[in-house]
Amino acid sequence: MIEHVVELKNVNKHYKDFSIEDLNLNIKKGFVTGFVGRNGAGKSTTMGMIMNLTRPNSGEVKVFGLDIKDYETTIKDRIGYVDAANNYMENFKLKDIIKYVSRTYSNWDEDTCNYYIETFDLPLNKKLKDFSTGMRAKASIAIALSHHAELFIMDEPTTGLDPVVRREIIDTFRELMINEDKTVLFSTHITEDLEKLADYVVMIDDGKIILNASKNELAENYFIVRGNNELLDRDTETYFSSINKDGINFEALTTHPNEVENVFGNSVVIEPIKIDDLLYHLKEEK
Amino acid sequence: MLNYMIRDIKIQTGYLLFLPVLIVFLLFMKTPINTILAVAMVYIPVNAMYLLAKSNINHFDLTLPYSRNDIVNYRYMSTLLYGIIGGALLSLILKVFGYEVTILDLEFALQLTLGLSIVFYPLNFALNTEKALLISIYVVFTLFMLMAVSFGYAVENTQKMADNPLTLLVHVAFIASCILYVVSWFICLIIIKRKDI
Repeated sequence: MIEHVVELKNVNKHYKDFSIEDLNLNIKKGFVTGFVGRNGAGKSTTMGMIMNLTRPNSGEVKVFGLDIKDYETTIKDRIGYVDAANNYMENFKLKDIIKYVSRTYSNWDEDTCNYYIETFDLPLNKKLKDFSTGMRAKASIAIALSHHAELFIMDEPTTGLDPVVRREIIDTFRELMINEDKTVLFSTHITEDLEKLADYVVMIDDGKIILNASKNELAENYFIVRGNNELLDRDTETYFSSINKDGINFEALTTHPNEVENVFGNSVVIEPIKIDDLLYHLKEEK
Repeated sequence: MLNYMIRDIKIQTGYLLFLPVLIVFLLFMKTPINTILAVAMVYIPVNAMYLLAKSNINHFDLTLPYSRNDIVNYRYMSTLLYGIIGGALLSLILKVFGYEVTILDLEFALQLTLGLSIVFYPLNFALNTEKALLISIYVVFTLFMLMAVSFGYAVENTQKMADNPLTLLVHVAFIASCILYVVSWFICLIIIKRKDI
């Protein structure tokens, strides 16, 4: 029984001004993993290596326990891929794109495809270049959902979309995850989507993984502390892994909430952390 | 592969309507039959690559259950098929209209098709399509000029070996272009194996 659907071992990728070095990443089967990081952190490069769009300089990339280099078509037959660009085959009508794609997958389900085309209200006889950004995203997702994929890899699928469309897409995947044994890996800048959908959060910065934890672990181990700057000195600052001060107050990250409470008492506010804040403070910590 | 070829045709339905007009124009300009055949053979694959490249199609194909080798193999195999089918079809049509089409014409035309592909495809997979097309045109034109200059010398020297040196040269060049086509195919497989798409 495969526990990890995606395994990256000691993966290296070098560009002129950016490197991913010794990347080790496992994506758990049956869960949604959110992949976050600032622009240029290495998210798309990592996802590209999983899909064999980008060739690593060294290291191993396995999907479903198989090496992506040797079993590329077998693996991709089981993957639904969504890309924020969504600008492929722009001069084709949606129905022609669907016809083309449907012939490549062994498990293509025409009924499922029709269901999502209707649900998302997509025009089959319109060229993709005439679709709005939201419609393109939905078309991509409809296609990805139409061949009983076991793994969904989505590179910023909700970027540039209005809140209504984003909500529609997130809800579609939430429903999918309730009913079926699927795995989702999606990269995003929108931490709200992570809060709603992700079971695990992986953060990458400068080509390195700086966080890989479940949302429960985040809630149990990371806390935001807010208080007055006067409370801080060399000793008290040691309870925090990252501190952000403005003129009067501070906001800090701690993994020792009980000790902070013992030291500061009611003079500080201790709250469970939001992913936004965690990402900010982890970057500062670096 | 049929899926791939249907896509190639679908993306250029407008351009295909222009092809008969182009052929009639070339006939009117008394262009050699072998050149007209070459235009017909090379029209679909080159147009398809140019138009599909604008849609970042190799990237899209690699998100589907295609391997990197599939992308190269389809392109080379389909070019041969377009060449053979296009050439045969046009030959029949020209014969119906009273034009003389010989096996030598078809050989020469396929040679030109293979010649352009030999240069264009590796460049296209290594660089972007616009650059590849530009460089290919320069290279093929230069080779054509070199051929024209050296042809007289070649004919003179092969006269000693054969009764019809021109035919012999066309056959030799055809075999050479087939071999180079296969070499170009392998080069593309190496290029696409290493490249980030």
